[in-house]
Amino acid sequence: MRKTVKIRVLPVIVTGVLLCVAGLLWPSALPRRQFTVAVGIWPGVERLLEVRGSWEEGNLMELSWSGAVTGAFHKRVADAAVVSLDELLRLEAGDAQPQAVLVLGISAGSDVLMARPGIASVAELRGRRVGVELRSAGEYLLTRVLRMHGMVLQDVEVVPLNLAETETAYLENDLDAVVTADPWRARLHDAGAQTLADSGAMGLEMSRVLVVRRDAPENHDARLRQLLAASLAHPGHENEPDGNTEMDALLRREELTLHQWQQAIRLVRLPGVSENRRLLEADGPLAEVLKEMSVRMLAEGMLPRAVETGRLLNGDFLPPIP
Amino acid sequence: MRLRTLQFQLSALVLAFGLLAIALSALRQYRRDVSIRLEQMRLTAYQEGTRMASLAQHFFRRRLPNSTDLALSYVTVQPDLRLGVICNGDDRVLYATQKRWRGSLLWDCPLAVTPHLISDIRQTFEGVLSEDADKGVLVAVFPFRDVAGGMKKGLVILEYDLHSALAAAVSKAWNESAALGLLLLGGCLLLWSLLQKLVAERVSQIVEQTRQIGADKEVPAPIPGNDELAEISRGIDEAALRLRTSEWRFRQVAASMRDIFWVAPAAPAAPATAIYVNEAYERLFLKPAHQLRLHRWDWLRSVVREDRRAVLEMIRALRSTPGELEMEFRIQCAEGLRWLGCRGFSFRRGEDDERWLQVAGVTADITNRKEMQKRLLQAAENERRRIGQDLHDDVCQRLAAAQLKSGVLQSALRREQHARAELAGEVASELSEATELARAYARGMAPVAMRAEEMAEALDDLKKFIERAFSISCTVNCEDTSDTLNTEDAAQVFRIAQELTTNAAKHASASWISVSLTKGDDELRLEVAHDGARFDPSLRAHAKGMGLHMVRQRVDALGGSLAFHARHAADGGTIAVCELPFAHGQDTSHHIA
Repeated sequence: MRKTVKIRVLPVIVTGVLLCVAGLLWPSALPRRQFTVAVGIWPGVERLLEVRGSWEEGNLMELSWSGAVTGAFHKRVADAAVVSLDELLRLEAGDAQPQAVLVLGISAGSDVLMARPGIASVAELRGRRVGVELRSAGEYLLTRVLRMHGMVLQDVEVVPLNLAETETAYLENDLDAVVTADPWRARLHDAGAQTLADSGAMGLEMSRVLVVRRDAPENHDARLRQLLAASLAHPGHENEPDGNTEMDALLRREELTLHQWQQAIRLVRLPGVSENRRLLEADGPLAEVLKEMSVRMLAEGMLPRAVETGRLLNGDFLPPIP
Repeated sequence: MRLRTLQFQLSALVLAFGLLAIALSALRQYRRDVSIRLEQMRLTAYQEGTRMASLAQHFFRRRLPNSTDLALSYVTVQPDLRLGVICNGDDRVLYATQKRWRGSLLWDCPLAVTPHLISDIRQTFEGVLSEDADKGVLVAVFPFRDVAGGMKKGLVILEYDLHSALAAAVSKAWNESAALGLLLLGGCLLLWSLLQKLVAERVSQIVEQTRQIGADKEVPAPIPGNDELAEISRGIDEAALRLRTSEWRFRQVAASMRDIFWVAPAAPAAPATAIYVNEAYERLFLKPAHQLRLHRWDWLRSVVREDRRAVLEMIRALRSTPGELEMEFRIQCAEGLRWLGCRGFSFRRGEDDERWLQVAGVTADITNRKEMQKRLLQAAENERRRIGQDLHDDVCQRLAAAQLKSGVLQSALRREQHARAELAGEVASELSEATELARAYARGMAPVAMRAEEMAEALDDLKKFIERAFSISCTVNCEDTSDTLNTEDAAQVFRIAQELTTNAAKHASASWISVSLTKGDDELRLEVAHDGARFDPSLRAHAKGMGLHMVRQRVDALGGSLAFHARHAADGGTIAVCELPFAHGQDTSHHIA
């Protein structure tokens, strides 16, 4: 006996209409792009760059100066970027919707104000030519240091340059002082430049963080978690011997000798997972620092408007504490 | 859901063609996208390679290493770029998009270049775009002169990932195919629904309309509309109306017939199809015709058991071969026994249907005719018997007296020495022969002239006649049947035996004939056997002789049956068996009634 299944017409019509609507509203194929992270040169980001071999899902875009990194993030060329806290506030003020998901390193003397021999104090810089990359950590450091010594930015002659140019500009005897960071700091130090002030006394203010956009596509979440987990699992090359393949690559990238690298990495504190979780808490120490910095930068004219710092930190992407 | 419906097949066909079209479109789209992406990538590689080579030459001459590094940093933002390097004339990498390769030898970098390619480029000083499909890379190599480095030939090498271009094309093709697929699937479901509403449901109504034709039910109204299906439905409605009119006329004709007109079901085992009979069926069978719808063989129960086999054989013969057959059978109804004469015929239903024959027929009540035949037989037999008795009682007596007187006359003339004494003796002899002859005639006319008790004697006379006339050995076995046969029926039984025996003697070339009349519990059994040629009654169905026809009439008149069987013996022969139920043999009037 033949059995037939009776199909009701109305559900079929409804299904057909829904399928047609779904087909008409189906989103167009967006250009497929890897999850791109813009990074500059700084010893604290090396453990991020070292995951390149194991991180198949993304692209690490190496740029030589801070402005290029923040520009790539702001213009959406990069999905994530390694920036300083002042750059994070500037990006928020520029509606780039950043949120810090990882504290890569805390500068404990790695960012410096260096001068030629003979200039012994910050006060002696009044009226002198100081090379600094504007709209970056260098400008913030210079402003803070000058303010500590009762001066303002207008008390010195600011020479805008890229961070990568600070070394050559100094060596060309064109400047009296430069605001720079490792690895240029290490080479300038060996070239005889004197450190007038550094970030050692600035606490968390000169930290470098990995930021992603708050409106980033959800399919980037897994890649981001993978990146953070791999990066935090990396030892950080603090005490590796010369001759190691990875170390050789690192030294070539930083253009440092092993000794210079060892000196440089001591000036950077690399927080692990647990410290990252503590730092990225909504009412944690980093949030407090951001509040203070935003007020300070707004007062100094480094921010065009006040920013809400409560949404700038997100520790949800961090791996669990081992 | 039935898969063989036009509705499903059309929808599935559209879906299949649609999917094929989508697949082809996706393939074309993929190839076009790959081609465009590759073309764009080649263009970008060429532009960036030439630009970076020009800048590198300029910056190297002006000794601006930071500028070279910054310029190469801009190249880094290209999403498909795997690795870009600028090396000097000694193959030392000075700048790289991945800065870990700075200071390395060119050959240590993960680039798909060969020394041969690099050598050629340096020799010709022309840029090259090289694609390696296996590795999935596009390499742009452009030379520049390192003026500050002794005019050696530096190289800008940019390696692009082709896989990403292919993956993007695949992603786009899949994405668009998915959108089109959803649209197509939805469209097919809507098409299915449309066909359901416009075609399937209306076709179901038409099917229902056709099913009701001839089912003694009201045919549904034609479906509304002006399309083809509505036109078909109206056509069916008109045809049904014409059919009803024609059927009404047929029923009128059939109802007015006194005989039964019957039409057997189209196929013997067709379910839910009943035999058609007109109103005469109820009059003759005294049964409701509608009962045949539930029990199509209900009529057969009325047929006398002895005749059922013959009736069924006739129907079977008509089913197997087109033609005409006639038979007579009896039915037992509330009013008693009836004789029916049936003429059946069969024909093919159409040229396309070779399997079944349509069987129909007309059955008439022939009870009166049968009664008349019996009375005619009895009247003829009575007249024979009267003539035989007259011959025996009058003519034979007179002849015997004349013979006696002739004998007395001869004796007297002989004593007188009269010359005519011999003549008187001859007259007496002639009279004696005439007397024997007359007695023989009398016995032929009335073999069981007086009582049934004389059956044995009559059969013995028959035996002597056969042996004398045909010189064939004949044996007779006759039990006492006087308590079961009246005079008329005894005469009929004797005539049957006489005809069967004489036929065997005349036509079978037998060496012996055996006649047996025995009495069973319910019937008389007459058997005539011989060892001659076998007799097949079907071969003599159309024979012109009256003998067998008369035998059958007599058997029918007695309510009996007659059958011929082949003897299962080495010397062959035939046994004719005539069975006569007591009910009919004991009381003819009862049988006739």
